[in-house]
Amino acid sequence: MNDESRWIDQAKEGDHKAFKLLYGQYVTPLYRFMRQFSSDPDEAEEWTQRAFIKAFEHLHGFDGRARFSSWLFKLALNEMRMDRRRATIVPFISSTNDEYSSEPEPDLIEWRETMRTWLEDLDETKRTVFVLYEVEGYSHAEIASLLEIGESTSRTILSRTKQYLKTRWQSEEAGR
Amino acid sequence: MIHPDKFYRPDELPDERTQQRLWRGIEKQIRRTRPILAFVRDARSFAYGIAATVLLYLSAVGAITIVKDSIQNAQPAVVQVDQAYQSAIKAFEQIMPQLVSSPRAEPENGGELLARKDQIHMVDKAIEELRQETRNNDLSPMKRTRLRQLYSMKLQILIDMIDNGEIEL
Repeated sequence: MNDESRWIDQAKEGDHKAFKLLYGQYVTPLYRFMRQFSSDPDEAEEWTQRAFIKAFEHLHGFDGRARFSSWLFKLALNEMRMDRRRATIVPFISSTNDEYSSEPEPDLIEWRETMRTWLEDLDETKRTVFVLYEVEGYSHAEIASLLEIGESTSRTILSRTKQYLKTRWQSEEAGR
Repeated sequence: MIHPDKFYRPDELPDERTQQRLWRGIEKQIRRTRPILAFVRDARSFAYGIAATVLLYLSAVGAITIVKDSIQNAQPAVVQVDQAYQSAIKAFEQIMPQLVSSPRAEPENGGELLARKDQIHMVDKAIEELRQETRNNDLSPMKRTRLRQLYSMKLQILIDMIDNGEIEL
């Protein structure tokens, strides 16, 4: 049994320390992923926090067949969708933040901002599939389970998204 | 694949303070909430507790019954003699259904049977009066002797009826 499985078992028994270890492991991946759906850090914090609380409360329902992280991401996406249903959809707006801890290369900043601009034109599912697969390293099977779509659908969405980004890139290059 | 360090901006990562703040909120909430597994385990313990209580109750009822029977068996000899008379009388009555049926049903010896029934009825009435006093815990040795005589009398009537062929078995 690996550390994560042991922490999960202990947390199922109500062990807060074990759950904190899980939190430490996944708070960064989850938070940065949720930031892709909101320009407001407080909103991303809210979804992250609620996902962890839900995870603790419903840990008995986690059977270990999927990765704990993918189950956690699913909970956070559900929280986000619930909020979105309640409120007017807040469009994804890229925000520039001057509080960078270290100043990255100008090319990288430009690349990131360009990527944000293009991704914000995509719907939530396409953006989720792209970030989960290309950045977070999830498999199509995991994404399919997480988003409750078919595995082939996940592949198709990714393929079309990449084609769209490629086209945008080519037109960008042609315009220079 | 795009490396996360390349894709995510530094401001999209939770700093130490944010992580601590998030955890404080989570911990505050989960302290109030017990995981459902623990609840299920408690519910199971509760069910076991109920089952154990039922078993204990049944055991107690069984024990009480045994004690009650023992007490009854340990009743004074006089009471046991009375019970023996009653049992004997009841056994005879069960094999003589004519005693409870109408005398008109037996035209051949209807008068004789009717007289026997009157006799038995009078003894029964006397027995019932004395037994009523027994239930009120007011039975002197003399009355107890009288009750036994009545039992004996009734039993004798029934035996005579059988011996004399007054009743068809």
